[in-house]
Amino acid sequence: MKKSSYVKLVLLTAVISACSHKDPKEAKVYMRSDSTANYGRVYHAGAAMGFFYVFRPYGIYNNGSYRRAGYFSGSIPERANYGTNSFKGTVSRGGFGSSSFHVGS
Amino acid sequence: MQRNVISPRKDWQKKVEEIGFEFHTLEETYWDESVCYSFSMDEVELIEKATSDLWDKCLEAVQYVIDQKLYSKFHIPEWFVPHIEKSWNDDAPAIYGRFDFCFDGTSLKLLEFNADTPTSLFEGSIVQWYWLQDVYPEADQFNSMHEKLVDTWKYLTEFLHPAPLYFSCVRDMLEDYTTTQYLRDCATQAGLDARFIYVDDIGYDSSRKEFVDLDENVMLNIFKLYPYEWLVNEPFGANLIGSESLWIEPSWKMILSNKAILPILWQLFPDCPYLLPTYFDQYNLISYAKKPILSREGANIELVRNYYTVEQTDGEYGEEGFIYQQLCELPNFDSNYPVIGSWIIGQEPAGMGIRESRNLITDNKSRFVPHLIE
Repeated sequence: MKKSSYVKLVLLTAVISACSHKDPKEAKVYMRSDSTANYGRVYHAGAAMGFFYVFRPYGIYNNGSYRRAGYFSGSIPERANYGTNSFKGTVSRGGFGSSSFHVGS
Repeated sequence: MQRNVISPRKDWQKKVEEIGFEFHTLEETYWDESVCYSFSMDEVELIEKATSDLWDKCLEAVQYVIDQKLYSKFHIPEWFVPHIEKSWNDDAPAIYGRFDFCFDGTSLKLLEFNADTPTSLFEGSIVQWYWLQDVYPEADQFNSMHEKLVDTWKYLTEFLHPAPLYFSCVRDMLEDYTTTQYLRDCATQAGLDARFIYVDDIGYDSSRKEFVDLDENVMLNIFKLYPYEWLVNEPFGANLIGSESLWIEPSWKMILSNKAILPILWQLFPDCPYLLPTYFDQYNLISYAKKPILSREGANIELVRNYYTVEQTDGEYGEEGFIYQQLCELPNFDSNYPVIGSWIIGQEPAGMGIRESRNLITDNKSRFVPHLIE
């Protein structure tokens, strides 16, 4: 039923392999991405999955100029991402993904 | 159809991990190559024909549900109906689905259709194929899933927005992550600009009224391994209306992925040899499977034989209602009960995977078992 006995995988092997390098120690980490936000416990087991926490800048354009408003990371709680900074821009995150941790059907 | 007890490859864990299959052992063995099933070509052709026939009937059933406005039977919120109908009328592209069959070598019956977020794709497409090459290189397998996935992504290119295609799933769940990255791999091979983002990282820009990635680029094409019944009930759900994003699977799959489609199929096609009598109430059934219209991994199912419950699973589903399907017990192979998962990819039958349980209800402790054609 297959056209050939050789099936090529471009991305998968390397990506999954990176996930399997588990860190035996999990240190508790608290951080915030916005200086006006609360500190929150990092809930994401990203370190154990072989990934690093990634912070991406938030900002807004106003009259042609860009103003940095803060940073966002999906690896820390929402309350640690959003403070009282009024220049946070118009993007919010975390509105999907809260129903369950596993999809399988 | 035969069940064969065989010797696993000596270093099978290493072999499957080399191709990216890291969740071969969960709480118990999930990938089980100490057995395999063998099929005759006639049996495979019956599974293939049933898959094709049922897919056609499913599309007719979707049209019927839309025409008759039967959304309340599916517990679909009214506000989301325009999204579903637009996706149907626009022929929004779908990539795949998995029919679960009760099959004993002669009689074949549809148990359910996993149309929105079917899993076990990577195991079926890749892992069992590599197993076949190692163990039975001269044999064949009902499996053209990989080729059809690549071909279907190529075909769908013209239906997508001219923009990157984002693949998304839940965080920290290796099974879902592997399935999603595998699909992304196939899309990459089809020439698409395929990117990845966790579903909780998806942003919503209230000024542009669009979903955005972590760099705040608008996400115009989104594949999600995340069911619609969850999406629509979450804080961003209402934003699906009004956004230009093209979602794969399309939202009309919300009708097919719901077990309420089973009584509709029976109502429309009572002479179909692959369908079981199924109703929204117990009707005249004395032996039946009572299933929540929305449930996953065999949760909250009750099997009743001659009015007596013979098996039951717990879980957190059922508040949306149930369907009652005439009892069709899986074949018993030395107290192992296999269910056939037959894949439709790009509108064509594409292969199958077998999950085996020690109970009549296939749950999240089932084992994936490879197969071959004799």
